[in-house]
Amino acid sequence: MIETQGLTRRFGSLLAVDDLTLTIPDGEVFGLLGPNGAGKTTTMRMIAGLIGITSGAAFVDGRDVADPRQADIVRAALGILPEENGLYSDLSPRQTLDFFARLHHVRDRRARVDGLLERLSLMDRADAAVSTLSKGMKQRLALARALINEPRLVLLDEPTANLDPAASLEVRELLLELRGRGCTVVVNTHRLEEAERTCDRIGILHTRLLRLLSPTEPHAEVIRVGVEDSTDAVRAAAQALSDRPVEATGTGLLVHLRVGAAVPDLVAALVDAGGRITQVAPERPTLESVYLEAIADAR
Amino acid sequence: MRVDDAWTVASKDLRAAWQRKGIRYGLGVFPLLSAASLPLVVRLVVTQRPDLTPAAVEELLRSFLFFFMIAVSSLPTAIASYALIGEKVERSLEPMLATPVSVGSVLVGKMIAAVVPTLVAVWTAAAVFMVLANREAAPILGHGYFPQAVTWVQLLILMPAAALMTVNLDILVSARVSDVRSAQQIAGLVVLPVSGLYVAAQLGSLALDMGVLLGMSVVVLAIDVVTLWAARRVFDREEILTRWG
Repeated sequence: MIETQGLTRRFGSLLAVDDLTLTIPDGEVFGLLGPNGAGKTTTMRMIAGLIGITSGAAFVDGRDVADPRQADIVRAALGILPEENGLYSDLSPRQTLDFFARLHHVRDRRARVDGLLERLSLMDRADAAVSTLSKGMKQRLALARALINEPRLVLLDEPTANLDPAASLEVRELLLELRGRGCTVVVNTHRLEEAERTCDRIGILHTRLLRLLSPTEPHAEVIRVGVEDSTDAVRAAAQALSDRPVEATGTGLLVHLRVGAAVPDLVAALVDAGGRITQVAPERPTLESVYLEAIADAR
Repeated sequence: MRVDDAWTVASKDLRAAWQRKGIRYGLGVFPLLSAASLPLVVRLVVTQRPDLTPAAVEELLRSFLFFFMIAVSSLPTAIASYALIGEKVERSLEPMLATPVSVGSVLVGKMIAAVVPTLVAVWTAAAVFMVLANREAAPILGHGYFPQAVTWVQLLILMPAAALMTVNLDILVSARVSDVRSAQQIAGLVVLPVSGLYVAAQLGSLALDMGVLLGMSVVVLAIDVVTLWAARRVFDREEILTRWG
């Protein structure tokens, strides 16, 4: 489990991460969404104990990453994919994985290396120089490197950046496989559809944590109502139950239900006002709309 | 710091370095060319100046052996600059620093990778030089000159200390520079004082006797301590990830 409490990091006068409080339970795929410079990479590096914390605290499985000895233990159980893959162009995939297996003191290195080469479809090019691999292969190799120690916590910074759709799909499948094995995965991304497809929860970060969402959780607060002959009275009745201006659509109204109001109340109010209801459908706000709204508010 | 981790880092760097032609040639050509050509100069001097005293020939041999100090002060830069700047450019330090390996092990590994091949190349070349020079100087000396006690001081203390000093300076330069050539040019400046000492020895204004070589060793070891301390401060997880590059 990852827990941060008021996690803050400054670089001189620049506030990179501000008062981030977050709990990510075991086995969750958590997405950190945010624009460039939002503090995603800095957050990841603090959680991994790679850089210091200005104030607040971060714990991984109860270990304080600010303590160098505990950070070493955390890193031993952690796999990390940095934003830039950071591969050695002169080495081969096999040599690369063997090197990291040695640094992690992996037992039965050869079997582990071969297993990952096989799993990530790199066996055919296992002994070629990394510099000759395609972008997708390099990214898969970087992922294999992050998994060499069979980590329980995986931190991935933009894992599908610069990948074609097929390679992105493979990465997403791998993330789901990791979740299936009970790994906790933190994914930094600004690809909204990727976050939506793979993450159990998403945090929108812009120095501060702006929103915490669950893509699978139903959002019923926005209601699309089909109304025949939408009169002023019908619109007024809808507005009385809406916490935002009611939007007229081609076939009816879009209502943001006030907290405490329920769909039957809305339907009854509209009927009382003379509206003929043809359709009532809860409409989920898209992640994109929530994201853009949160970022716009933060700016 | 774990010795096995340091060796893992060193062997990876050595493997990567060995795949670069420039480094292979650098390690081989300069020392071996010196080992082959300096005895020829001894032969030339001995045949052209048969009136030279044995003391003058011994002085010449000592100064020629000191020539290898230039190699030992310059060659580590070829490997160290790739091992440090190369990783900086490829952004490959972060994944390594994200493992449980200590920064000290990484630093020592990189030092081993730069110092050991240099010493092996230079010691081999110096051994070849000494064997050939003994033969060429025999007509005047009547016996083989090398090795002397002073030779061991130079080979076993001064040369490793000088190689380490160069690597430490490479680390310090690497923190501020982002391309291999610039790093090599700046770190290459360490050759200047060594070359100056060599020229002074050739001109007879510096006697490379036991006292002078021990004095030099103490000075270089003191510089090693200071530069190692500074290198350790620069080569730090936080420093590398937030300030390098």
